[in-house]
Amino acid sequence: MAPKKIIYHCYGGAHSSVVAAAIHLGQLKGSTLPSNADFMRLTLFDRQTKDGHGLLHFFGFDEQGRQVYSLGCRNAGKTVEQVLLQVAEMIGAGGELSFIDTLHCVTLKMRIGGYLSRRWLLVRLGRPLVLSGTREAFPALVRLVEKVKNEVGT
Amino acid sequence: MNYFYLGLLDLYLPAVAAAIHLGQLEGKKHPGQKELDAIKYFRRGSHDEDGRIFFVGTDSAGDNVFILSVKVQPEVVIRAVESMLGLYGLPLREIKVVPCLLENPQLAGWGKLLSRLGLGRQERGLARRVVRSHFGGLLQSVQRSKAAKR
Repeated sequence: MAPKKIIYHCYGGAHSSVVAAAIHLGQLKGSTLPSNADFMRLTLFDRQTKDGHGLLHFFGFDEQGRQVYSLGCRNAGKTVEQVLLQVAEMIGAGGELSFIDTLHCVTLKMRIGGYLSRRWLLVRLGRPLVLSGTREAFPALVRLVEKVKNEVGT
Repeated sequence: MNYFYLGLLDLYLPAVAAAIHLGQLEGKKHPGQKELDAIKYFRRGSHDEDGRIFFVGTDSAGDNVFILSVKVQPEVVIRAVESMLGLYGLPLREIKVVPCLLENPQLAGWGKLLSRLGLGRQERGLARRVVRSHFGGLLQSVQRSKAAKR
């Protein structure tokens, strides 16, 4: 069964997964490097709080009608994935979910900036760093989304 | 309805909670060594069992009882399960996740260390002591989760 729900997940659900979901939905064009303002226009970008970790955030429908979500799992990405896949089987939705870990695309700047901005709420210090890091990571995220689209079928 | 008893780092506490739920352990007295050792899944759990859900049985009301253990972030796992139920428009009571967590996770770390050192008997002994000291709390958790259904 082709997946009906595509879930991009990372540590905090505030940066890489949000950007990947936006690329998937065409809110950010893969062909051009988005500006800082483009990133900041995205729902949740550098705004997610720790209370939102574990909550699936619906981003929209892609061109194939699949639902795209972002999710922050902290350091339990594999565990959350494993649990939700089993729960999906239980509720009769087996094969509907596709989890994509975006953490490997994250740059050091994103990690440090994200930590400062989200963990310590030092937004003025962390946000410029996270934006710069996201711009650096953008090509890798575009490649990841392209790979996902090829795998799940466009 | 499905009950998930969720542990951190090992399956000992969730296995005992599931046994209480299914009436395999009496709540009136603390279980002895034989009773604990006879409980299904009363064990540490291996590395690849992180997040794996085990079916333990069906209770008298026809509800299914499962256990699982995670290495980290149990609260994130709980939120994710609840969020997914919402996604499918299912009521939260469809799956009730009951945390069976140690207030001091270092104890589980000690158990893991003993196990790695090949001191399996001591590790199991520590697990039994931990279970006995948490038995009252587990009993209350089970009773509360069952009462929440009514």
